[in-house]
Amino acid sequence: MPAGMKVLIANRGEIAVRIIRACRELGYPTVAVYSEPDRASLHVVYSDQALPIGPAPSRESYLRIDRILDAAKKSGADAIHPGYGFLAENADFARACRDAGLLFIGPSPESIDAMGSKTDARSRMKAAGVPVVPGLIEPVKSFAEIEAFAKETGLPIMIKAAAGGGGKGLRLVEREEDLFPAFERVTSEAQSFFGDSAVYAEKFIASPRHVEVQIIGDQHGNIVHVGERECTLQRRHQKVIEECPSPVVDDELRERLGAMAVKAAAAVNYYSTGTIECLMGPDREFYFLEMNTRLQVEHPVTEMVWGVDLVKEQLRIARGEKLSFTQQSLRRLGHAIECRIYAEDPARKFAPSPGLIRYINLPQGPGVRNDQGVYAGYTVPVFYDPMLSKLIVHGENRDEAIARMCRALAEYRVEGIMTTIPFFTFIMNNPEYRAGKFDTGFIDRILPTIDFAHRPANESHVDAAIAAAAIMAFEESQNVKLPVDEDSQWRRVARVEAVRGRL
Amino acid sequence: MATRRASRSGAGAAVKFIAREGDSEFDVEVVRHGSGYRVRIGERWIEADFINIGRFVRSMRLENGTQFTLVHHREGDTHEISLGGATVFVDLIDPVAAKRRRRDDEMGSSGAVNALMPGRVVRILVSKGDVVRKGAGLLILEAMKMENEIQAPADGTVEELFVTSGQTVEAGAELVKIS
Repeated sequence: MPAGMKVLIANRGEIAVRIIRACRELGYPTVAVYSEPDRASLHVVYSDQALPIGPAPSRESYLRIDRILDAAKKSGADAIHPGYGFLAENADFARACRDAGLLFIGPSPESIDAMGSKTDARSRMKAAGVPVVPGLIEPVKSFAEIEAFAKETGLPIMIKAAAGGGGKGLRLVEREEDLFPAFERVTSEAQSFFGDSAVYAEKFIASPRHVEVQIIGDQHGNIVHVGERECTLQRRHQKVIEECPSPVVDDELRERLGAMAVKAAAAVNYYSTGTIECLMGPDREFYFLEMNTRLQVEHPVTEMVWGVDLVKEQLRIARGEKLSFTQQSLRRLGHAIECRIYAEDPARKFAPSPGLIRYINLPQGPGVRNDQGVYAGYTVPVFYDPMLSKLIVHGENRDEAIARMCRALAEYRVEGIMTTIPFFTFIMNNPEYRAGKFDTGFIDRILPTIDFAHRPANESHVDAAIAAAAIMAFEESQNVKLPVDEDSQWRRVARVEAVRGRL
Repeated sequence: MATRRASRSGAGAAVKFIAREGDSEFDVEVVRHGSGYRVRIGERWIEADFINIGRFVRSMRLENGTQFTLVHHREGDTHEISLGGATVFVDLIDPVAAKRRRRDDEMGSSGAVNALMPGRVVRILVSKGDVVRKGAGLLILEAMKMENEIQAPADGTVEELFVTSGQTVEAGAELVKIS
């Protein structure tokens, strides 16, 4: 492998920016790809080279393997980082990269395949001695199998699409009479969302937490775990706040979780970064849910606490280098929290709020990290995930991290579009959240109690606003040249001088 | 530049507006005062230092030291002032500008018709070569989920149509040319 390599990022938004940053630190030139509406996206502006790959719909751009490989060829890229989502867990893409002589910065296509189907993964994990939620390992062939399973384990159970993910294609069944309608609905959703009608069932763990373990391995057989993340707080089955470490995991449990995760990864000869997602009951018994064979959205909380750079590590591993740390050399420090800032309006049932960002002030200061994909003057397109940015804070302990997050959220301002910032402010101040007492249903339970209605401004605010509007109109009517627009005479003279010197 | 600014704004000149906020209406007067301004809202006087800290962004400091970082956005006469946590919409009518606009109209201004705000052209109501009277609808522009009829500023002939229906336009974009 030559000393340098050119890396194409087959993704967009904040994660593409994050990967470019890692490449820069290693001295690797970067190539961005973009769909038509993304031509002014931050990842494009931020890269060294950028190539168009088609129109707005993902299936005609970011999911087009041929166009991405073509862009790699045109730009002379040596490697491709898929980010998360899009083609990140597509074994065919990993294989196509390999066949085209490009380094795929991720696991082997064989590992992706092995973990790709939830039911296959579960049977593999069960065989490897990893605990899984009691359930039907194989997709069912008939409703009778689900009925028999429900009788055997008892309700409630979950019916899930075998090829599902992202919170789609699953249903909770609590009453016997709901069993058949739920089976029918999940089967048809599975067909329409994932093109595969196969479903399976598993026991439903009441009041669970969602805890996941970060693992990373190299191509020399070394696999280590980098602790757990608490990802219990979800809305519409999508994570919104993540923490590291989990408030309910102690050293003893962390060791058991880590050992389980390493075992799971080793069972599929895993290298690069991966995440073992687990369900954890109130008794702190945990069960393997699935493995994400990619870099995870919430990877920064792990990076902050464990002092590692997972993306740079991925790049090194892909080149065949050994892990730069061992299980013994890893040390945990403090507590980190991440809020996913979405262009959604909490006051309007989290309706998407695309549009022009007129102003953005990202919080800064001690222990604050922004992984953003937007800037002031950028128009958030309607075609993709509405995540603008991830706000990550790191503190000495959980209390300091929460206080820091509150401070950062107060500093954070986005004008022109609505965001989920007020929602996070509310959660951070919730006593149950502060006490670390929550389960996956927490947000759905408390949402109805929150009043996000835009409160009428008080009188002093109204006065200030009228005065400000009048001053702005006054300045406009007087054609006042604002200092920002003013071209300094000194600068002009200096420029003339400089040119004269050259002539 | 400093010299031009001095010549345009006569020292101490007050500019008056009528401001509407919610159901209330106020006479508003603005005067320069040191580095900042004095603003009268009805019977109340507010003294404010006003600093440009970025495009659309101003820092305003009141007499008692209270500070606001406010973001300004204008759609026609409506000013949207966001104070962080509260957003206030103020309609400002400038009696002088309104008079000037009327005078321009009487003199029969013509030429380019531009979009005042970004939006989407919903329908074109005229064709090239049409003779239009002042005030006739030229096209419908959808902005902020509202349909607005763009009218002819004067009598004339539609010389050029720069847009087609369905097209999105930026603020300031030329829509129609009338001569």
